[in-house]
This record gives sequence, structure tokens and C-alpha cells, in this order.
Amino acid sequence: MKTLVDLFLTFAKIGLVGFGGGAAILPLIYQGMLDFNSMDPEEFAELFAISQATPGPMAVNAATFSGFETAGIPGAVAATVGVALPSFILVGICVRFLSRYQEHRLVKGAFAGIRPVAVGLIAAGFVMIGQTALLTSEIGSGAVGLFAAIKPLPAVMAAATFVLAKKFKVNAITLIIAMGAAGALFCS
Amino acid sequence: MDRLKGFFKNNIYWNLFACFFKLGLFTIGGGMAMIPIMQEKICDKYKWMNEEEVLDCIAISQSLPGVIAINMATYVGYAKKGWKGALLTTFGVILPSFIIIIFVVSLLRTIDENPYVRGALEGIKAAATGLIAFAAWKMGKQTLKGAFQWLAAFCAFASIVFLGADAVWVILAGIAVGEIYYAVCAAKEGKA
Repeated sequence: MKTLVDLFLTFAKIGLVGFGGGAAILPLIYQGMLDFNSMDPEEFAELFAISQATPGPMAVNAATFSGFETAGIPGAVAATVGVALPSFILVGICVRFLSRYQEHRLVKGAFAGIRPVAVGLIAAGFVMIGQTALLTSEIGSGAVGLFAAIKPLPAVMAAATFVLAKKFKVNAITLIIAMGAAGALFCS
Repeated sequence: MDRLKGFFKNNIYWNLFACFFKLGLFTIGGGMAMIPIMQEKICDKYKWMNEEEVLDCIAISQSLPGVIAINMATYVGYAKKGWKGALLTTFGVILPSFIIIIFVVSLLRTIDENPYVRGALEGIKAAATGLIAFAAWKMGKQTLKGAFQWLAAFCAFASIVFLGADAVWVILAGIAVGEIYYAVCAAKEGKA
């Protein structure tokens, strides 16, 4: 029961401060889940990929995923309700009282800060995921050690994904499925 | 049977739920991907809002904290039928995720010793890394227009990755710094 309450509170907090969509929310989930010891860093990369490749809003998928891994279906309910509840209350109040507040000075100021911070958060998410996806577990010291720990095949696939998304505008699901198939063939 | 169909077709509560259930089911990636389909359904099909009201809904959903898709669902539901409507739309948009994720994760955990599945997971994780790099690049191109934005983004990144700072505090600090920056910019413009 305590786990469920903790899950709910963790995800309510994420729902309350999570600006900028799924990718920017990832570091929040990563840090929130450390307290539960129910996921290793490797599973986070899976969480990101599966949340993005399956239907539905990414943050909701990620919440359900985390809750389910921690405490089964009750955990999934606690985390998903948690991530949705702050939105639910805030939006309801806003529609009711101040539907045209977004021109307000304080709101604009807040966004002047949040937007660049969200970019930093996404970059931090890249490091979190890249560590487990592209590096072996034994990392030597210094730049040489880091370089030696790179797994060549996944590194090439990650670079290919970036280029295909950027240059050729291939969508995320196609890329995840294609790389999954390539991985099954070459990494097994 | 026809009466039953008629009930579902004309019942606003059912339609609110069903519309957002479908949105949850057919949009992959998140809130932004939902916008074009939502516009089509809400303006053209159900005529719950006009174009301008939908734009308001999108702007407010983006400027509030939380998951954009849930914000939009709550907004439309509340605007049409108060808290009851909001509950139905929010539940509707969440439900597909919930069912599909539990199914996928359960399936994955029963077969993840299989070497092909492990290989596929390696590939999927590599793709995830590439995709998040792309997300950072895309967001960065839109957002990082000057020294202040670069510095704020870098500080957020470094404090999480190198100092292990709590992301919640990083966001709150970002809001505080943004307020100061905006006030300074406004003051400068006032003088010029």
C-alpha cells in the first residue's frame, strides 16, 4: 500500500512540473523511479522506446510502464492516475476562471525560462539512455576509456536513426521497428 | 439494435469518451501528434468547438504543466459538460495507453530471454538514443535563439547530468530565471 501511495505521489509531482512533452519528462521519471529500485538504467531505454512506439501520449505510456514494473496493475493505476490528476484539476480551474490568461507577463516570463530548460532536460535524457544503449557496463577512466566502452553496432544504429529522422523525416515508429528488426538480426 | 445505435450516436457523454478514446488509440508519440486529428474531429465531425476555440484549447494545454494530451482532453470535456465531461474525456484518452502498455510489457517480460528478442531490444534502445538526440536537436533549433537560452539549457543539462540535481528543482529554477529575464527584457524595451 505504501508503494502505491509513493508511486501516486511521485507521478503526481511529475504531472505537476512536467512541461514540454514526453522527452522532457523522461529525466523526471528516471529520477523518480530510482527510489523504488524496480528498474535498472537499461529498462529506461526500453521504457522510452516502447512508450514512443506504442499508441497514446508518451508520458501516460511511461507512467503506466513504470507503475506496472513496480507494483503490477495496481501500480500502473496509481502511477497513471497520479500523472493525470494535476492536469485534470489545473485545466478544469483554468477553463473556468481565466481562459485568456496566457498573455499575462508572469506566464510569459515563466515560459522564457521553461523552454530552454526543457531542451536541457531532453539532452540529459539522451545521456541517461545513451549510457545503457551504447556503452558496455565496464567504462574505463578518461576519454579513452569512454571511447573503448562504445558498442559499435548500437552506436551505428543510433547515428543512423538520428540521420534518418533529421534528413529523411522518417517517423519514430518506423525507425523503432526497423532498428528492432535490425537488432534481432545482427545483435542476437 | 438501431435504437441502441441511436443512443450511442447521439449521447454526448458517450461521444466525448469515444472521441478521446480513439485519439488515445491512434496518436503515437504524444500531444503534438494529436492536434491535427483532434481539430478534425472536434470542429468538423462533432462541432463541439469552432477553429478559434480549438486554438485556445491548444495554447492553454501547452502553457499549463502536465501531459499535453491530458490537458486537451480535460479542456474539451470540461468546456462541454463540466467535471463529468472532463472525467470521461481524460479517462478515454488514458485507457488505450493503459491497456496496450500492460499487454506489451507482460509479453516482453515472458520472452526477453530469447536471443532474438534481446537483439531486438538492443536495436530498439539504439533507436531510442538516436530519437532523443533528434528531439533535443529539434527543440533546440526552435528554442535556443540567444545566449540566455543556450546558457539556461546548458545549466539545466549540466546540473542534472554532472551534479545529479533533482529535475523538479531545475524546472522551478528555470521558471524563476525566466521571470527575471523577461522582466529585464521588458524594462529594456521600455527604455528604448
